[in-house]
Amino acid sequence: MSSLFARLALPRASSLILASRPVAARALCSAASIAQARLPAAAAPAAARAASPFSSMMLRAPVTSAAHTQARTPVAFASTSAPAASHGKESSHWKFERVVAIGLLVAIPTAAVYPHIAVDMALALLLPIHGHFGLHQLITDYVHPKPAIFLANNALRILTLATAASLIYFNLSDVGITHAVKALWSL
Amino acid sequence: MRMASSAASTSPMDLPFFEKNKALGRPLSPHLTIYRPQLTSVLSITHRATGAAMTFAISTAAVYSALSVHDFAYNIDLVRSLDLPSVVTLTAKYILAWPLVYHSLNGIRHLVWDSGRALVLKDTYLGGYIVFGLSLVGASLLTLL
Repeated sequence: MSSLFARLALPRASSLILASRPVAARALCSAASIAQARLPAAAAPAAARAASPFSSMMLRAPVTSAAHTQARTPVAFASTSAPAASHGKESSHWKFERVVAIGLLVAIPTAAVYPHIAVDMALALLLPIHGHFGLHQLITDYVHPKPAIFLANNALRILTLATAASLIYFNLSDVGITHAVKALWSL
Repeated sequence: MRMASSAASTSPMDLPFFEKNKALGRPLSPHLTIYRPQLTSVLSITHRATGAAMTFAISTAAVYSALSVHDFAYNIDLVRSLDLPSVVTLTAKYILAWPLVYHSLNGIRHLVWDSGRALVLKDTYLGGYIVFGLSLVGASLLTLL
């Protein structure tokens, strides 16, 4: 299912938002903060890159101190947003995860001020997909014997599909997610 | 260091990662019972816990409503008929609102990190204090809405 989600991702649209992050991913966060805290600013990105084996597959361009600075300007965003052949499934999946998260940050306040069936349907997809990515990460980090990983991931797939189907059904056959939450809050 | 004595051909070093560490008696890293909790690590595990809890709550509510013979209004009327004191409803709303507000704000903090910003140790603490403080304020406002 994760590969399906990866294929659903819109590489061009998502790259406009997240294309040129100079260092990437939760895997790198702790390593980068340690490296940058102890080293001069110019040396930090290279050190952070060396510190994590996962960083190279997530980077759009080699990280230099110049790229690190330029990436904060709109010009650099535009210049690096063209899809490159060297980027595999992992980086587009990473970007799709961020797009879904940002989508929820937009959809939830929108639902609060402007309830609409379209927003409810967006929530019916975004909530289970985001939850799927989150729980999948927990399985990756905390579940280890191989058979348990297999079982957990398949249980997660069933949970995600059942949740999405139920939420869509609720939007079509009942008051919808937004009005349900508003009714709950009126108690 | 304890070594496996059962068979001469199998050394713990040949085992897969987790089995090897178990065979060698190595503790979990970081060793949770002796490693001092920090603001950053506590907020991090809280982000995961709130996300997982909300996902299970949403899934349970969604599947329950799909399988239930009653519509949503029936359940609302049922709770209303209990005439719960406002202490109970306000507490329940805060328990529902805080994870959403905290996870959303900390999610923004994560997106800032993903863009390569605020990765120095001082900023991770500053962001942590801001997110935790705002989550308490935001959840209070939502509760009283």
